[in-house]
Amino acid sequence: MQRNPLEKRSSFRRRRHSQGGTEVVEFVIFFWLTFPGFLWMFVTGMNFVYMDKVNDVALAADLMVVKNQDMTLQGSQDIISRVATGLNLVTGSGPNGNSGGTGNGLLVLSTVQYIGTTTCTGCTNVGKYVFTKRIYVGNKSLQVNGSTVASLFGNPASALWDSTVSGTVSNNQTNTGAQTNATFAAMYSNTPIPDGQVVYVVESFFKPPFSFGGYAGSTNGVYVRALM
Amino acid sequence: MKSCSPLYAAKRRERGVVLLLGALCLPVIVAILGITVDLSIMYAIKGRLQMACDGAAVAALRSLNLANSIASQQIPAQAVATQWFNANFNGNFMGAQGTSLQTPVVAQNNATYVTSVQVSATTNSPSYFMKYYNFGATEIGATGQASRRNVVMTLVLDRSGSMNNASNEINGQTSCQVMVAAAKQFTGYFVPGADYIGMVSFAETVYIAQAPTTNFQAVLGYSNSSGSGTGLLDNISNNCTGGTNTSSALALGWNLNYQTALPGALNVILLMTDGNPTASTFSFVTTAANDPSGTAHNVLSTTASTCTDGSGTQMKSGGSMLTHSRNWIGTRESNSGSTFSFGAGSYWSAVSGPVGALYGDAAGGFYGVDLAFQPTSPNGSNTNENGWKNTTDAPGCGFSNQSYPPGDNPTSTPDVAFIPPTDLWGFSASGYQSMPDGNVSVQGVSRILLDVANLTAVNHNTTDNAATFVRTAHGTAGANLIYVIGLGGNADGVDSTLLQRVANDPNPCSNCSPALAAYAGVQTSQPIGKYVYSPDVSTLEEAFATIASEILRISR
Repeated sequence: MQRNPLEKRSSFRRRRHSQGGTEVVEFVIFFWLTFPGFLWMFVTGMNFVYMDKVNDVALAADLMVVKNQDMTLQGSQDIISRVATGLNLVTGSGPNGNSGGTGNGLLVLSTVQYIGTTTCTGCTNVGKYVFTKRIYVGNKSLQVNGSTVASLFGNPASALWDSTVSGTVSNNQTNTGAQTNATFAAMYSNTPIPDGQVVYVVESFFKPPFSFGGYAGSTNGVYVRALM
Repeated sequence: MKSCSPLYAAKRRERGVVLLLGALCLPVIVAILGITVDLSIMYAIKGRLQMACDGAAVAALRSLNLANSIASQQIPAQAVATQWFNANFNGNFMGAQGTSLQTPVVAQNNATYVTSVQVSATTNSPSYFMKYYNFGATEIGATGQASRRNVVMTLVLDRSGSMNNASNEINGQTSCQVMVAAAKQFTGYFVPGADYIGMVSFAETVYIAQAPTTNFQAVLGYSNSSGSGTGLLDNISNNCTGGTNTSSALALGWNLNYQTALPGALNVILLMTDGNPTASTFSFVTTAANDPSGTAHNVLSTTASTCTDGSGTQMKSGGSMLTHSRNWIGTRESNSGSTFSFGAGSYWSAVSGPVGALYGDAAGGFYGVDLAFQPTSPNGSNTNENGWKNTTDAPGCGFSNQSYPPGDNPTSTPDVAFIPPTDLWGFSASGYQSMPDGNVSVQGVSRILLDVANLTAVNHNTTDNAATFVRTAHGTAGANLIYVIGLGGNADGVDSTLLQRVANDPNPCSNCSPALAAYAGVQTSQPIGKYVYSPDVSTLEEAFATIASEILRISR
């Protein structure tokens, strides 16, 4: 016997009414199960994009250093700032970072030379890697995970470093305060670089907007270095 | 009963369907998440691998100067590329495995004059999620290439007497000796087999030592981290004496680049000097084209002259300086009247007749005539400097005694009647600076009076005009870049204002003495060079290194 269409419509309505909210509850349960995954994917994706950008910044900065751009000049630092658009790199002038200690990024530009006997016979630093120049671009007070970031290769002694004008490190052949730490030498431990050869190093530290989890040597921050 | 109604049964059957569907979709969702994460990691590794290859390529390109030929440069390039690649890319970065660096390739394009280094590497990106779907590690690769335009360059080095002053010595080394050491370091920065470097040195005579050659390290000498060698540069060390003929040195240095005929390369003149220009080279017969009278005119006296040098040798013989002109091109009397050809491809084909360098120094208060240039000087000889200078060196010569009145050639006394309107190379004696002592009438035509003050201005003008000439394209030859090093410490000082103009450098010079403001007259249509001032000898090597960095334009 064929049902009355009015009755059929009415039963559908009653069933939908009696089931009202069930799908919502199930969806919420399913959503809360999968949401962390989506959130993790979003954060991870954003930070991969962030890290890729920091790669570009380090590469651009090192190419400028190799081309002998004077990175103490406001104009040179502004170029890097434009490459780092979106990373909140606040630049200034001079070798000692921006004056306000602001921003989410710091570039540490180092020129390192290997002192062999041809370069300097009988010098204290023969057989050592020494800083000949150090320039900070950005926020020198940048803190990541509660700690102020610092070059992985050490710092030249403050007495040797011209922190106001050029960033050059004086007496780098004779003063042990100009030496890098062992981390740098370890990178070239298999074959020391040729006597007198120079390595242009850019280390970039950035604090991303989302927690990133300790990739590449820096907890909760992005650290990328470029050596040329 | 409600619980037994078909509607309730249907409702109960549909409970959990969303969850069930979600659970069924979960593998797909995880796969999407996995692909996203694994791809992100892959791109991150790819980005870092690319940067490592770029860094290694640039470093390897910088190392090409450590061997003497393109073939032999492969070995240090490979070593450097490997070192820098490993420093830039941690082999297990984000779980990457099986990283492999391929042998870097050094190549030279002889059509475009570009040398390049290519570095390629591969690694395997891990599969954290997709491995559960039977997708293993993915091999990814990157290639970095660094290239630079090869250089055709002539070093134009000052070997005047002031470079030998004991008062400027540091650690027992004269300016001349330090310049040689710094220049050898400079040649050590460039790439044998690819770059071309030649040299002229100059006092009031210009010595053409070597046309640009790719074998410059062996010929000129060099010094870098791979070793050192002696060459023509070393011959200058103890042979610095005489005046400063900057304009002729620029002309002949440029001519060497012109003869090399590689307009696609970066054509460069590097000028190093420690003083003001004190000499210019002239033909002592003006041409109809450049003489204000419209006809050729004799500048030398044709009457008998008592002019001799310090050893009693006559400046001319037979009474007429013009008809018995000395050949001041190369050696003295023995080659009188000969012609010197610059050889194939030269801008100036040949020089003959009465040609010499007029020199005068406002501070020193002397002027005289000497050789124009010495075609080749492989042993660095300087015996032809200062032959005809002052009343001691050139007794009886009209030009050496300012008490002589300006002459009305050819009948009056002075051996050189006036300063010609252009120098031997065609550069005007006028322009940048005006003549302090004005003109003199010779045979009814107004001409530049020959005295020290005027000659000093003329020497500045010929230098400025020579630089403009060098920075201008001629025929198929492109414009040359001029880099200049000015060395301070000389008692007479170096004219940084002039050298800034020569380099066409718009930048101020804060360490110059006195400090220079930005050069407002910069010629924007001509190549912009660089002027580097070295306050004393101790910073000369740094100045050369700065110029080397400027020239070595490494491009990715």
